[in-house]
Amino acid sequence: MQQAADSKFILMSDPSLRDGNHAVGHSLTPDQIAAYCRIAENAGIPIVEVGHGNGIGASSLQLGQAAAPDSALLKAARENLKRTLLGVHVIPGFATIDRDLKPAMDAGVDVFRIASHCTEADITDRFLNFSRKQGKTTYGVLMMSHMATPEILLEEARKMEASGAEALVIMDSSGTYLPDDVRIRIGKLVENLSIPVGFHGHNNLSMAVANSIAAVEVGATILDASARGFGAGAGNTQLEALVAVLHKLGYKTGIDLYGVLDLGDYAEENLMKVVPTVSSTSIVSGMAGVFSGFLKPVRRIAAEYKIDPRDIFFDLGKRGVVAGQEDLILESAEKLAKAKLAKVS
Amino acid sequence: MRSPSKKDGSRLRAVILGSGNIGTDLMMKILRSDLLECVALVGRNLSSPGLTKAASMGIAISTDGIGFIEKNPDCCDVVFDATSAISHAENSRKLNELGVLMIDLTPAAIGPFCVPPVNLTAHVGKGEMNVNMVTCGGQASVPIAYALGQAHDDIEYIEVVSSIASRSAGPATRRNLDEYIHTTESAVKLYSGARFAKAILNLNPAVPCINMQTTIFAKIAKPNMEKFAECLQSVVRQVQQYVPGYEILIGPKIDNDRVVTMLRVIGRGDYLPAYAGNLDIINCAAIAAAERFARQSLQITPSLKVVQ
Amino acid sequence: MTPVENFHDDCARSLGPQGAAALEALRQGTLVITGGSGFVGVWLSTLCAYLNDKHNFGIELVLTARRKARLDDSAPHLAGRRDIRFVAADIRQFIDIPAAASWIIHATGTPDNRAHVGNPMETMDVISAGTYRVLRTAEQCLNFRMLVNLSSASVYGSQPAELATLPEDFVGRVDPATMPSAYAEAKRYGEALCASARSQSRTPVVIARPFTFIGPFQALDAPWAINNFLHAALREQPLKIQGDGNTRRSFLYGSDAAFLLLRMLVGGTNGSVFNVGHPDAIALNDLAALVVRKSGLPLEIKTNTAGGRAATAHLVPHMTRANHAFDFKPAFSVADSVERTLAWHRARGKITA
Repeated sequence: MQQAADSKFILMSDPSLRDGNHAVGHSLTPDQIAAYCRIAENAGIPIVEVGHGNGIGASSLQLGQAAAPDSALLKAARENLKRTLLGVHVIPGFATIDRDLKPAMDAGVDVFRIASHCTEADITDRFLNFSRKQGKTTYGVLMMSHMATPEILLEEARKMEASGAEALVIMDSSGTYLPDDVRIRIGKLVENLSIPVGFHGHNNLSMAVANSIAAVEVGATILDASARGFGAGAGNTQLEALVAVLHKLGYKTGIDLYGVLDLGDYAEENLMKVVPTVSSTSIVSGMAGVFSGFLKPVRRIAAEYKIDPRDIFFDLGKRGVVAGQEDLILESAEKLAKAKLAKVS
Repeated sequence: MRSPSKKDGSRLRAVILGSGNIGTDLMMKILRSDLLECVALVGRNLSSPGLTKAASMGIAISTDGIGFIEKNPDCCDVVFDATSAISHAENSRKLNELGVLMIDLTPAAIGPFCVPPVNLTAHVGKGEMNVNMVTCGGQASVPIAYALGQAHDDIEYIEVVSSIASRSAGPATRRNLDEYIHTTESAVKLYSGARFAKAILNLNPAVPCINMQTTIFAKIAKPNMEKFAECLQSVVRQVQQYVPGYEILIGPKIDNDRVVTMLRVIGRGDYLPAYAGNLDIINCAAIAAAERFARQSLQITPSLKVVQ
Repeated sequence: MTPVENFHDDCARSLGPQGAAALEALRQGTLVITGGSGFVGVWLSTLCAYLNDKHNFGIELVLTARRKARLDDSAPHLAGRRDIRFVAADIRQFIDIPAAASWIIHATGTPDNRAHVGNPMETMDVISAGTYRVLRTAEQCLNFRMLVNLSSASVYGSQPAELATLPEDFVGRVDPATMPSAYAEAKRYGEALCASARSQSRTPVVIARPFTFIGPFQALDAPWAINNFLHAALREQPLKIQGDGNTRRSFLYGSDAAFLLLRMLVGGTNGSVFNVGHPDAIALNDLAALVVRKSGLPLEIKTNTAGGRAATAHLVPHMTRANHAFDFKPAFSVADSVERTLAWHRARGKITA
């Protein structure tokens, strides 16, 4: 990934077509992918990320079944991106090298972002090595990064760096951070790693853009943001707004303003069912530190069991559930329903 | 199975290859068994906690690897291999020549899968010399998948999601996630007859450590919940005979159009902490397998020599 | 069938006209090399085999390592040699040393950073317990002359910006409470163990601090800059540089490293410490350009300057001490080394990775 020697250049990576899938039950179609990619290419978006919300190979009953297989989505994207790079999110334990990584390479994916929960970096070692050896741009990603201290986060990042990650992105998967939280973590990583550092924000507490700017102020050079914030729960950092703010602050992104605004409009009209808002449940999940992607299943199960979804979130937060443990929502609901019944009787 | 020439005539003599957590936990379980005797724990590093513990308990130890058995070919009847897939291939070749039963806890999967309630009897009947204990997720979910298969002719898809404590997953587990997934999927498909299978593994770092929890989802056109519940009860009882901490938490029920069963495995805490139910279940299954083979072979009276 | 390369030319070049004479003390001696299947172990064995073949030195080599298969795979030229005995052992249990052994070079341990961060406890155990075991076994020898302990440049911590090269008397600082320090701390502990053995058991010890090596027998697995460049060239992929490319390293060729280590073994003063590396630094930009040139292919070089601040630390040894003590000058320039290494990998037809 060629980056300008310019220290004011921020590399934008757009996960609308991946994280956004969480908001629509992973139902994005190849046609939607194709159309979005064409507009993104025109706007000069550097990287577009495509796939199931939990990455390639994650389509499952547990995490939600995708309407179209990874191969179809990647094909649609690849055919409509020329200068813009095509990226994928990969979580070992959901995806495997043979079944998912290799086909994605054959499909022409450029950027492989190998992700783990923030304390389990060593599960990405084989994937990082494999991708790197194939000459692909390879990032390491630490999810739910609020669940580790800055020191532990650095250690885990070091593991990924040692395995050959070419950049390190930390995610605020539950939208829990405030700007100072971001400054401490990103700052520590920038001081101690030799690879670029990036930030992926979520908007549960309405802080995503501010958090992203804080990251950049302490040396992050990669930011993730989605069109119109298309993403799980309260949505990701809003791409158009972030680009506008970055430009206003004198940073360069290579993105055309009108182009990215058009992208936001397109996403609103054609991809999402509702524009992400900072809803009550989003605020609660942000405060509880629970993965934003749990919103839909929590709402559904809460309705079924006739309990307050906010109570489920706080319970899950106490249990320290990590992404991928959607089955525990059911368990939490059962427990709370029983307790409610006990109180009544 | 060769004719056992035992010292006290009532136990099958076992050697454990691999003195890590799995091997040491196996040793503790063998010491509790009426049908098995622990002849030696074989490792690589003399000062490893496993070998140190074995020595302190008066169990013979060695750092000679497979050489220990090659040098004393008559020392044991069954070997538990808790080393690595690479080592296992070689170990198995050498030991089969000596007529020793191999119970493989590595991902090598040379021999057929062995999940006790499902096919242990068949394996013992056939006189298998090398059985593979699948994976921890496999041992937990295959009994359920098997029950699903018994109750239904047409299963489209089964998905197994396991969550284990981060602390129970050592470097070997973390390096072999892909093998874990592929092997578990193979076993689930095989014993349920499902057309497709998927396995997912989550490592959860929460403290206090979580117990192993596995959810099995099944997509079945015409679910027969009554029959499944019956088959499930039967198979769960069988598993509980060798894994007392195996318990159905939720279900079976239908949620969002799929048949859902959630189970938990609490380990015995012999050597590994109880939260490491994932490691415990594969060990318990291995012991159950060995004990079954023991029951079979120890019925052979000394005058009836099995010709090699 | 292509004959197995014996690396005689490399050895002759590194020895130069006076080299064999400088190593006379090794004649008819028994040399134990721990970590015998690693890069350093194989080059030492190769050089000793050359001394035996061309100069009738009669050195008896005892190599120890966990797995013989690794040695067979990377060094077929050493197979079947009567002057090499292989002992399969975990270094922590190593007790099988011939009483006649006069020399030990302790080269166990992998410098691969991934093993250090993935399994730091095992890493520290192998280095600490392994070094202890080797030092104790040396006490059993009848006429023990010298042990060379391969420590690591990592004991210096990060090279400060104001130092162009790191001299042996620079005492670096490594924060012991963080996991990434595990390897460096274990190596420092190993050096302290050596000093203790020297004092308590009167075991003569010389400490070597290796910097960066290059050459055949080096797996290109670990994601260091030189490996990445070589790997990319062999795979005909673009070369990627992290940081602005001004970071400086130096690269010592395998046979030169082996020669210096043997000089230290027979000529080093008891208790001395020597850096082992190439005195001439090269910036990563220039190294990438060099690799492209030597590959003979029009490969692209991509620079990623958006990296973190840790990218700029140089790592270059101050080699004056070795130069004064042994008149040591590397025979191979980095250009020669790159050329030789690319050729070796290409000839093997498979990338050792």
